[in-house]
Amino acid sequence: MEKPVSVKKTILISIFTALTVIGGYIAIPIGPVPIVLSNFMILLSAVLLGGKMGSAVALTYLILGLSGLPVFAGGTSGLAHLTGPTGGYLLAYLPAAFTAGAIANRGKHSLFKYFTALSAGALIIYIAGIPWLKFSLNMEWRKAIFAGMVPFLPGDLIKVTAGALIATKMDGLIDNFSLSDNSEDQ
Amino acid sequence: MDMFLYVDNNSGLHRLDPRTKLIIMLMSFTVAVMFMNIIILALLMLLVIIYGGIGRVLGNLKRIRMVLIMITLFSLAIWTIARDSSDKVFIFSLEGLFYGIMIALKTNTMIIAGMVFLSSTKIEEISEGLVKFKIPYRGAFAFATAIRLVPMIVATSYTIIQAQKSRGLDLDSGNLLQKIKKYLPLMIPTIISVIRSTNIFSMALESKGFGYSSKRTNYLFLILKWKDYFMLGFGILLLTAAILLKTNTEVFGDFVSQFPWSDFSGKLQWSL
Repeated sequence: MEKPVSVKKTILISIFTALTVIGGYIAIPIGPVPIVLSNFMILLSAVLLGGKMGSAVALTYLILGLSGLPVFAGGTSGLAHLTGPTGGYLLAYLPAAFTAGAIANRGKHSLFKYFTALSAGALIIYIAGIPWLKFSLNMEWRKAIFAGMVPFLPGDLIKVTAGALIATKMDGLIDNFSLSDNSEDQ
Repeated sequence: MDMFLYVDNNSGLHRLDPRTKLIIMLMSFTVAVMFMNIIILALLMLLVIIYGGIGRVLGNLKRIRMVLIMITLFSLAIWTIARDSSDKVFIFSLEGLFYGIMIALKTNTMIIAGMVFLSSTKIEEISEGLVKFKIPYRGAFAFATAIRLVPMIVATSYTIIQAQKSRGLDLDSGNLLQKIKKYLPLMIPTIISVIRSTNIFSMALESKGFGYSSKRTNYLFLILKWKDYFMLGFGILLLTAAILLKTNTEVFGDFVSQFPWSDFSGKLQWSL
């Protein structure tokens, strides 16, 4: 018989994938580029659940989008987003979640650690997203950085700060609710 | 937000195996990504619409019309201004406008193909189809459960917001930062509330023997029939024709030279 915790983990992955889908629909207009909360939810799931489960959330989210479900920003979907100019940002969710989760769950938890983990995740999304944007639209580096990073920075700063605060408040709660019976499987 | 586009019909499209429909959708995505030609993309969109018409699911176009309109307007506005070309008048260019039409056709074709797939396939059929494609059952289960959980989480957050409002929390006043500060604490009870349900959910699953045996049985038994093979054969034929057209530079070059306004693959200098 499989370990019961696996069922809980599967459900947690589903829950955070659903939260990520909802995040894709929430757009806060702060200027020409709105803040979309899907990347925030992916990184939050990574710091709360760990790198492997965070990556699983990201992978499930990408498969949902690839299957034609309207889950990407603004209710869009499909291969166009994964191969189009913004594909780099989406595919970067996988390494970003893994890294953020790995940093957050190494040693003692703190607000600073969560902030660092979420910032590292956000940085990885840019590191993959900007070159992809540059080459897919044949832009100059400067233009790609201005189109694909600068307008998002204030929003990302808010997201990283908010994510670190939420993760600190929720520290240990997931273990208590769900994973306490088999922590070595983590 | 509505991800449940399924239309309960008994059409030929509905009766196809979900794997067939998934492969056909991915084929349409592939052709759409391969070409940067207005005529070919318009033909592909027409084929996708006919395919959806067979399943009598085109009524769902109304439900996604805002997304399609926004993508079209956004593509036209952005590319008319942003596309580098020699025919610029002030900041606008005709080449940019045609490029915007091509991008809008490409994106909208994929969205319509996704809509047709979702309108004719139940979530559990998609999940079972993914299992048949050797995706681990737990992955497919997470996929199906995530879709089902979206409305539940939205309802939970709505209840929490209403509960806090009834206690006097004013969420409507203040500037954007103040609003973010007010909404942020509401996220924590929402997340905790849905995580709490994990235990109940897993107990319910375990009580029904979820994960007891690695040999799983299903009520839904998928089997490919002659209609599926026919549709797959037709799809492969069209995909092969598209690949041959794309790779045969002479034939594709001749085609592009007939309609130089339609193509952005770089074969010819764009002209009207």
